[in-house]
Amino acid sequence: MTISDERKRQGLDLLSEKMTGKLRTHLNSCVHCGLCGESCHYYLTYGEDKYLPGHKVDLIAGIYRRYHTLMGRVAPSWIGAHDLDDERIDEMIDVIYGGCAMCGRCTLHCSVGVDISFLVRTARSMLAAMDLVPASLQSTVDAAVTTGNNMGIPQKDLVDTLLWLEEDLHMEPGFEHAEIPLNRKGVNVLYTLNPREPKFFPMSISAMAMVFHAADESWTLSTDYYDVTNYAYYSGDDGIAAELVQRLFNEAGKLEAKTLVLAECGHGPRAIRWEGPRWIQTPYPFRALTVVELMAEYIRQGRITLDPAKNRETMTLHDPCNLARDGGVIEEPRFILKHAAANFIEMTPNRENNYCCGGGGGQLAMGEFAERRLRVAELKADQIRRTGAKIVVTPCHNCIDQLMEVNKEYQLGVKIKTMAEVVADALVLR
Amino acid sequence: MTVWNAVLLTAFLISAVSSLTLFLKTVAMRDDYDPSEPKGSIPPAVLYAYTGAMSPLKKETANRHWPTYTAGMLYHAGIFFSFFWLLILATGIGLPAVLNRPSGVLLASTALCGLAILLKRAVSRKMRALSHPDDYLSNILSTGFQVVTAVTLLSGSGTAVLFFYASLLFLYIPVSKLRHAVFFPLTRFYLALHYGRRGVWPPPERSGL
Ligand code: SF4
Ligand code: SF4
Repeated sequence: MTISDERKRQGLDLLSEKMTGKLRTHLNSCVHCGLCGESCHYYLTYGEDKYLPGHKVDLIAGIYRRYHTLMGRVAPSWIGAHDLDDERIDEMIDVIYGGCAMCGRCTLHCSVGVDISFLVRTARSMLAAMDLVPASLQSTVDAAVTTGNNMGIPQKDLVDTLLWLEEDLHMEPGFEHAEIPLNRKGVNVLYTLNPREPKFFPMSISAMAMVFHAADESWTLSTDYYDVTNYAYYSGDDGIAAELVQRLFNEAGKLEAKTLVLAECGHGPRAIRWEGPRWIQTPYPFRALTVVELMAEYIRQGRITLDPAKNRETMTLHDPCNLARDGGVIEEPRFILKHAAANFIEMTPNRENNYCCGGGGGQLAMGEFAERRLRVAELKADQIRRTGAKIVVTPCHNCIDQLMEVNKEYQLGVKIKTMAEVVADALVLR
Repeated sequence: MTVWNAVLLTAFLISAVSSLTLFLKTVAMRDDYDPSEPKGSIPPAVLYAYTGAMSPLKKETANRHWPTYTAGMLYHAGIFFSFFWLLILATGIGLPAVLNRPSGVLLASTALCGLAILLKRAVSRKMRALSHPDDYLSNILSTGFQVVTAVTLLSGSGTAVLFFYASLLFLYIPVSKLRHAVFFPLTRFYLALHYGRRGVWPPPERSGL
């Protein structure tokens, strides 16, 4: 691919603009020990040098050294400093977008503590500044910008689906008066959705409506801005990422909600809860938390009662990387499952050490790299198989999509469920 | 003060000032204002970053690579021990001569660890792929530093060679991969800010909520 000098300059300018103490530190810390390979599911699967996390670091650190250090200017090849040339850019697109899930597992295990996924995202930001985001990922971002949700669901379709779900809910014993309130002002909880829910998994919305009903929560959904995902986090485009966060921020303000509850998703809550306030440079005047944390609170406060006997099949948990390792939602799902499932069994490794399902980093949205995405998931398939569980529960719709494909590809014969579904199944109504 | 003492002192000052500048410039750089509501607490995370999180039991880069990890730790310990002896010899502080031989033998062993890592870098395909000439020279200088210190201690002579060698090492630190010595504490600190704020570090009690 031939990239004009002007676009390369935009990429380099972006690196300079982003240069903080944190970035400079991580760009200078890798010692090229190569020991991180065995912590990365890409390297473990392929064994190719290009997938070494240390190599991914070097792709951007080499550019930094070339343009920002004395030695990089006078003796570039001596210290592995390199120009941002066409060849390097091709490799970056292939590896930085197509060979990394930004799962952060290598970061936790790096001998020094280099924040590798942070550097990978910075490299993605450089590529985004050069207009080099893979087309499929960019179209997902564009759909969110132009239609308000990443799947381009028209508002009317959403409303129809939600009304149908509410009607359906009324047929469930005990939920005759349950609601799916829309655009209600002054509620406690503004709940978000992953657009995959109305599109493919409407039952997870019903499940959550049941939980809200059982907890006697005052809540609402917005039909304007409800998308919990933020694919600009994965594309690297901070401007759009901020715009998407700002929309939810404004919506919570408009509806005067006290709490913004982030639906089951990994990167979305990370983007909104942790990166969002920095992107929009504003603290949230409302509380923002994940639905997993909220359900754990309901149990702890006695607002819902669960009977684990209602979920008897052996169940295991897949920790979404962005939720657990980079979001601190680690013990909450376990606390919930302790109350909601009779036979819970951990995967090994688990919690902050869990392996990515393979769908992270925007891989699910990038058809260009679909084959790799499924191949690297063999590790996850083995992890699941070893538990002997019949159900895999995970609080992330991206992980669910990937695990459903993995289930088919590796013939695991398991059921994949959201956390809300498991909780709803275990509800004991008073 | 001998000529070699003066050379050493000059090299040390250049290195120290450059490294300190590097460190202070980085610390003084702007960092993004992060108004997110913390879930965890930063001070215990900082403590954990330099202690528990460094435990080989917690890091696969250690527990999946025991021989390399052990060699790496000994090699680094040898570098610090060589600096200790350099200080002793350069300042003329008298230590009992009985310490020279065991120290020399110890440094010879840690230098062997450095050599093993150098060989691994040259032989292992994975490490070669990540290495630049600077990586080899950085290792050679650090391993050689331990060898020269060991020889000086065992032979009871050759301080001039040691001072000259150490001067080269000092001068190479700020312009090479050896500058990771300057950035390492900062790296751990930034990681602690990240994981601490989000409640990942230190790991919460496993007993539930
Ligand atoms: S962030 Fe995850 S996928 Fe990317 S290099 Fe690290 S371990 Fe591999
Ligand atoms: S473990 Fe860390 S220091 Fe070593 S090569 Fe990987 S990123 Fe670099």
